[in-house]
Amino acid sequence: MSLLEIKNLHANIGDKVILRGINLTVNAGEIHAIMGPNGSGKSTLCQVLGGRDGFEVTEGSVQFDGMNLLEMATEDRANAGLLLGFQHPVEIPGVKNIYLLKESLNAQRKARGLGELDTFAFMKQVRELVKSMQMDDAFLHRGVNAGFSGGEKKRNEILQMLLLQPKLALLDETDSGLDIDALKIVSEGINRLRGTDRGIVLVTHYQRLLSYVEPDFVHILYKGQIIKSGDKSLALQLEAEGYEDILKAAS
Amino acid sequence: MSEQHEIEALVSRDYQYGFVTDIEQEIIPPGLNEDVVRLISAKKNEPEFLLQWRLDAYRHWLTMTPPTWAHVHYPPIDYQALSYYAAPKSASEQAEIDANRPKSLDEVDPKLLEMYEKLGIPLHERAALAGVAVDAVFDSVSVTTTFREKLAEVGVIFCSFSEAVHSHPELIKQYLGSVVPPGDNYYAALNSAVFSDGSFVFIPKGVRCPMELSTYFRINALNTGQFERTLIVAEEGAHVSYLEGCTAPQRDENQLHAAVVELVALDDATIKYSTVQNWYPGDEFGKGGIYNFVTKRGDARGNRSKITWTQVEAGSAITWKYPSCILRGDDSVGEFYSVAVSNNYQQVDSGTKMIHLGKRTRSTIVSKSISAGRSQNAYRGLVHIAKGADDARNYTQCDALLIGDRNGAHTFPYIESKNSSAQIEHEATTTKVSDDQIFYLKSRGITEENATNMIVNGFCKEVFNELPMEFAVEAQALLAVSLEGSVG
Amino acid sequence: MSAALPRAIEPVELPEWLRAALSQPVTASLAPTGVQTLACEQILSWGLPTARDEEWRWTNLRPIARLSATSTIDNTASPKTPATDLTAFVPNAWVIRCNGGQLQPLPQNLPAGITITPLTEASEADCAAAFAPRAQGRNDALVALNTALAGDGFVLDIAAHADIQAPILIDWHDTPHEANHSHTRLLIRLGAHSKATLIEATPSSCSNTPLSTYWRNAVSVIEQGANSQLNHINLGLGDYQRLLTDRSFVHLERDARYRSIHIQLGGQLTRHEIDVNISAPGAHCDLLGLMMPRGKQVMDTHTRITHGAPHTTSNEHYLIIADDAGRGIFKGRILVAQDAQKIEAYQNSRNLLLSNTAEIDTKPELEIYADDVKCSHGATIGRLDDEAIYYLQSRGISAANARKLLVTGFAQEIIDALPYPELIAHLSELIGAGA
Repeated sequence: MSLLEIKNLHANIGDKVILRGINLTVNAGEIHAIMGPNGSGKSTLCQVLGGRDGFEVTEGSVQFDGMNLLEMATEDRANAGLLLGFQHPVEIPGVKNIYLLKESLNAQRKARGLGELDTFAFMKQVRELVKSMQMDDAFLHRGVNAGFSGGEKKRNEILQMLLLQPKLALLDETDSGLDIDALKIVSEGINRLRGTDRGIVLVTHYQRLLSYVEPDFVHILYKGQIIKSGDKSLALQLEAEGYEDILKAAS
Repeated sequence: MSEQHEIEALVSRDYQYGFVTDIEQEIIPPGLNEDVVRLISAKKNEPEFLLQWRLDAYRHWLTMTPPTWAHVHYPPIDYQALSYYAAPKSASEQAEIDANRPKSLDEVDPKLLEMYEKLGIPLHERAALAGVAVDAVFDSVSVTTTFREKLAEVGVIFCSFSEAVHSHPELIKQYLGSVVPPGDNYYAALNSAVFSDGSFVFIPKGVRCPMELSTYFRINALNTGQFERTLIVAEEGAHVSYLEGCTAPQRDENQLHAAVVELVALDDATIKYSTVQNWYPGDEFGKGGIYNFVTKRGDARGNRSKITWTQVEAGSAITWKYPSCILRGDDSVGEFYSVAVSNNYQQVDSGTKMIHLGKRTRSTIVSKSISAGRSQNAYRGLVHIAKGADDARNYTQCDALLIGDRNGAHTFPYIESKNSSAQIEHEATTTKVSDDQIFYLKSRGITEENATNMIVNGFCKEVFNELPMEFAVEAQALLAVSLEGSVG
Repeated sequence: MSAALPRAIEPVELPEWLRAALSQPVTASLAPTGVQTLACEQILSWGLPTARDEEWRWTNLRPIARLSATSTIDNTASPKTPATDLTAFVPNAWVIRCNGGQLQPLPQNLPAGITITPLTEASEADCAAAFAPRAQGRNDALVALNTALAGDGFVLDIAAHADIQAPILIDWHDTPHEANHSHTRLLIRLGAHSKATLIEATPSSCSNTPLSTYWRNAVSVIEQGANSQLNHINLGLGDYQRLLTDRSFVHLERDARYRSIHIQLGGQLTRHEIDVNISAPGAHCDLLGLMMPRGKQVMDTHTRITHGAPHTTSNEHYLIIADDAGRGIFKGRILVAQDAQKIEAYQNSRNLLLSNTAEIDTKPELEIYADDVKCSHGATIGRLDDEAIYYLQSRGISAANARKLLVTGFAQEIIDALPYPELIAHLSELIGAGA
């Protein structure tokens, strides 16, 4: 059974049709990259999979780990093992990071019928992660993303991912706004999640991230459809030739 | 998904302190005139100076009119329909017989002890919260004060107001009305005429009060006004942290609570006054609830003195209160931290006044309001820098959070400066709980209800941080309960 | 709120000359008879507002009560500084001169799209529209007074789709005049998709002539049709003895944009009020202002913006620079009505207090009855930055010049919003000279 199976997915925002029949299958152990120019529907796809209000699915289905994803509430999707890494993580002043991490980890454990992790073990795990992301412990006591730089926000997303160990990570433009050092740290984090029992979908505009996280498959999204799929060489081709030529060739 | 619906469902939980204690009470007949004032004074066996003080206040009150500037609406109060004194019979008789004698716990009616247990305020010292001394005020009288011997060892006086009138008349004479004069405003004048009981705290020179002091106010009787009076004096270099809590039964009638709190801080003294106000707010249709018309003012009289007001206002049908600081001493500091949450038909008009008179005086105001249901929630504050307040500083932050689209959130700051070296900064925002924030937290597996609670708590964090530990926990729980049904 | 410090409040009685004027107003006012009679009764029973009236808590109208019965303007006194004609700084303006409230001959050859009709010649319907805003209580007593006594004014119509490039300059040139007070009323209407710039100057000649006191109490009604755009510039310059109270009622239809820039340097007592009613989606207003009270000047601005429709925005920015024994007062209210969602409103009150005998009072207010809003306000009162003065001094600039530079710099963000470079330069100079 595949981890994620998107069949003929159509979605609108208001009257505007954004997704026009997406088909995509992700199996455990695979890394997929979805690339496309601005306005191709990349972020919409992420938001629809994340369960955001304001999008209307008009056709198609999405199976996640054997469940009908589209019928699940956002928090249930998260607790079932889907993690959405945001392009623009929102700032939530006053709510400490440490508190968010604890709440979400315990929510997931509860969903799996496990008890709450004891504070000592939790803190140990979190501290190690903070260190591995080259962040300062003080970050844990700051408000969620409040006053963070773009790079700090993205590192925070990856840190949450590593703590929650999702079955499928769906990372929306995680590389945007990162300098080269931060990009390396983030990539290392993503590579650490890689494993035979997990899937990762990278949604990105550029090939840059893919030099550090090697994808098994690359898809090109254009006008709400995947118009071309291939292996990592497709990303390199894209980088060399630009979208225009490939779009021309595909149409 | 209907977030709105879930939010609304969350706000409507029942008031859990709404029970009535069935106890034999002595209540004087409704009505207000000079004889009633004399009767109250006589019941407390008061010295002549205090009776005269009350009568003067009463006569002044007759010439005044209720304030109309607040953003609240209620039918005129019939002051002749209220009773101005109610006391459990046992306590009342005792007070009459011997107001001078401190009450020991053995003499307290077991029914009262039971009630306070039920409210989570155990009065037996062995069961009491460690490190918190409690004065329990039931309707018009103080029932008991705990830990008094332990406090007396270091010279701290903590007793009911009536008792202090007898045991320390010179202190009462010196400080009563010195911060809030009897004619200060309509409700303060009324209180000065008919106040029944309250707490008195005196921290002598150089003493750091060894434990938190706390007064627990409980309204029980029907159609009775509660008019308590609290006076806290911290002498040179003294420190005290004082907590105040309040509840009332659930009744369809509105009840009036018009208290006065006066704080005096001499040189280098610090007073921290924290309130968790949870008077009965009325039902979901706006019926019943307490009218909470309170005058609280601190006089930072001494140089380098400091007064901090922290309040969590969750209850009452109408709240009208502006805990204030007169920063008279040079280098004195005033702080006001407030969370005011309103739901259903509650009306809040609350804030503070910072009057900078001394040089290098500093004040900080952090006000967080959360309005849900059909409530109206207004911040009203005054920052006044007098001519002589060289290098005074004020920083004010007022944030309002809206939950639902049938309520109001208002900000009315008055800022006045007469000194060119002063610096004043005021910021205010009004927003709703953002869908983006809720979605982010939900995408991390957190339910909408928890997500909203997290956001609201985060919103209030700066204020909760100022509360003593035990109160901070209580405040968070209270916030969740108050908003239940309004948040998803 | 109950003042912590006692505040002596004595009632301001209507002065005898005002009572006298009110006893024979029917001939004086252009308002419809019923409206005029009611206003007359109102003002006689209310008197002038006092500090007890919330909207007047910081501004005392006693100087009005103290005016002598007749104007004692001395025309023969030679001005200390030569008068400057403002038209020099506003190129190609259509100038409308009003002396003591009386409309002087209209400029000839007004371009197509502009129509000016004196109220005395206006239709009944236009008069009714000009007097539509009514006083709701003592806070609005001056509106009632204007309604009772307004004897001069006109209707200015900008035709639909007209794009009037050159500004229309109203020169309130209140010099020799028999009475000590005048009450003017304007109705300004912009047709759909039209665009215009209106400049009001009091007076346009920037002389520092020590005139005797004279009071003008003005009311303007501004109605903007869909997608219309009005730049409304108000310059109160020179003339330190004047009393000026004016109030504009602005009504915005769908997508209309109103922009007010108000600069007050002159006047003994000035009170500037703007009520903007944003009644349809897409409409926006910008209110910008600068007041510089010096000497014993009192300058007061009150604004009220009502967001009565969803998807509307407003932006408000006022500065006060108070020196000597001057007093500056700002109160701004933003009201968001129930169901007016998707509102963005920003309000900023920044103030400089330069002397210990000066005073600044500010009250930015938010009153919000809808939830999907982003509203914020900020207010600061401070002094010039010592560090900055020191830095400039270390570059060889004198302390006095450093102060001038910094004060002008503080005021610049408002001045720079003016559309005419010559005017910006002129005002910067005036501000620098005053600092």
